[in-house]
Amino acid sequence: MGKLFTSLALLFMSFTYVQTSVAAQAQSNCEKVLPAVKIQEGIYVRPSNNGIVFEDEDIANIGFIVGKKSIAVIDTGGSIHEGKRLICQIKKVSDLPIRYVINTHVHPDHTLGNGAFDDTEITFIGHKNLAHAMGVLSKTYLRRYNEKTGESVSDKTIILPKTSVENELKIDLGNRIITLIATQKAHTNNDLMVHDQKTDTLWLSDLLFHKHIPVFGKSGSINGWLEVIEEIKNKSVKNVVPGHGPLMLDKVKASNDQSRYLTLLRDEIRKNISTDADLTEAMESIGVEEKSNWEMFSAFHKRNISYIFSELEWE
Amino acid sequence: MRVKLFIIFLLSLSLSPALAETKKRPVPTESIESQNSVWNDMLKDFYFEDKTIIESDEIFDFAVPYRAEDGAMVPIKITPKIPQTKERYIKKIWIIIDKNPKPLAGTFKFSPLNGKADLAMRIRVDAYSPVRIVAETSDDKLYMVSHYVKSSGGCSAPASSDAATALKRLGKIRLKTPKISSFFEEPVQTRLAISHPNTSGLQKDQVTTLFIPPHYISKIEVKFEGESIFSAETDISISENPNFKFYFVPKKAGTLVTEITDTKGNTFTQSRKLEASTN
Repeated sequence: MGKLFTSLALLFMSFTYVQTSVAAQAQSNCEKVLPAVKIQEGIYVRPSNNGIVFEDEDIANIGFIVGKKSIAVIDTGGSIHEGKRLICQIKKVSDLPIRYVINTHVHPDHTLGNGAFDDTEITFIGHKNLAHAMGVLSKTYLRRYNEKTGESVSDKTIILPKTSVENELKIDLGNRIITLIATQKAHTNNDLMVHDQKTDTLWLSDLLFHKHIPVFGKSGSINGWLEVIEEIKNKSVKNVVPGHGPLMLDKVKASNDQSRYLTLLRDEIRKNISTDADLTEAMESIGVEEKSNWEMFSAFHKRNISYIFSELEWE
Repeated sequence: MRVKLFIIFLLSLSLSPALAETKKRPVPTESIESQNSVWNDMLKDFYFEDKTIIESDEIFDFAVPYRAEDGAMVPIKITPKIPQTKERYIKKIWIIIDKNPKPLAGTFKFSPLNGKADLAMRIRVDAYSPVRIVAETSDDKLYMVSHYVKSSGGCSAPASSDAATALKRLGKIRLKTPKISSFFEEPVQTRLAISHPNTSGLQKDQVTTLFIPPHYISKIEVKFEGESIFSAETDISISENPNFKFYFVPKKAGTLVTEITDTKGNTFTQSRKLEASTN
């Protein structure tokens, strides 16, 4: 009898656990969230895992910079859940208000978490082309996210930038100036990098991939990206933050690796186009020798070829 | 003891949602019947009425990637298993993408002049969908092969270049054949590429965020010395900058002429002289 009572009590407890765990999930229980990685004084990154958009979570390096008065978020992740977890990670570090959300470009693993942030209190900032790009693409991203996850996230969670960066924009977070720099067409047509004066850190996001195969965005430009990488390589900054891949890196080596891969693709695709080879043949044959140099190669390499092929076919 | 195990089991179930958060998300799958439901319920009758279609790859097969790298540009390649002879040949090919907003991508006519009815192009695939090809032979029989393609958003994907650039080179045509050393009965590969945005009406303008009106190539005709060797009626499921590869048998020197018409009534032409090279 006593045994049965204990068992029933345990059973009851397990049900209450189910309920609390659902409630906790709804409030995004901060205790379970791993803290972000402090890479420099006041600069924090939620590190990336290798993964596929809509199928996996936490696939980009996202994070935040803390000043004396306020905080700027750099990219919000691929879902509202990710955005909420990022807010938890911020709260673990500082009680200062989040004043800015900076999206480095349109891709869903960097923007779909925007809805977790309160847009009445926060200024959303992006490249001058970002608002249009999000206007065109974000609903489609969200539809695909809902299809894949079975969730029903509303279009209302899409928050477009209200402040746009034409060339450069400086923001003061309180004794900490960060500079947002818009680039030419590169990874996409709406790439923005962020420079922190205090620690001389350049947050490159997807302009630089580290160990993870570089992924070419459909609106990007292969030649533009190669030029931007060259500029980055020659910049005398102390630290850089890549969009995907490990945070500890040698800037020059990572830039060279990325340039080598993209240059190979460009040159071989041009050859294929001039000899009238099929897109299928191009996708099968070009750059196979690069396979061992990159993680996630099989997931993105052929698509890179397809995108670059359509860009260069009528150049 | 058993009860305890059961409770541990329950506990593990209740914990799983929290743990699942960092794991791979489940991907919904579709049964074969539901994959083919659009065709069976609607498209078959719409395009072919009560005609009998033989589901078989004895006449031809085609290659298409199972997972599209870019839904807006999915390469397909049709490989017939019979030569184009006067006795028996493929006279017409339909390309149908079941779940596209307009499923029929195009129809393509062939004759014995082609030597072989090989055909390659790029299509838009908007959703996970069967891509099916129906071929009609000269004895009026219909054969069908279908392959399932995992793709998404191919018809609404933004164009790869901005509108201004695309407009500047609108209608530029590349009509190419390899060097021909002599004129035989051998089929020669012909590549026809047209710079055209081929807008589907489902894409949005990057600047105004309004839908771009449909504007696409609707008719293609290629003649060699006045005789038709490639004739197609095409729709929005053909990718931007359409690109076709087909064959014909040049029995003598002559001129290849193409005439292409789009939905705004523009006509684009290009010709190419075929002469045997001396080297």
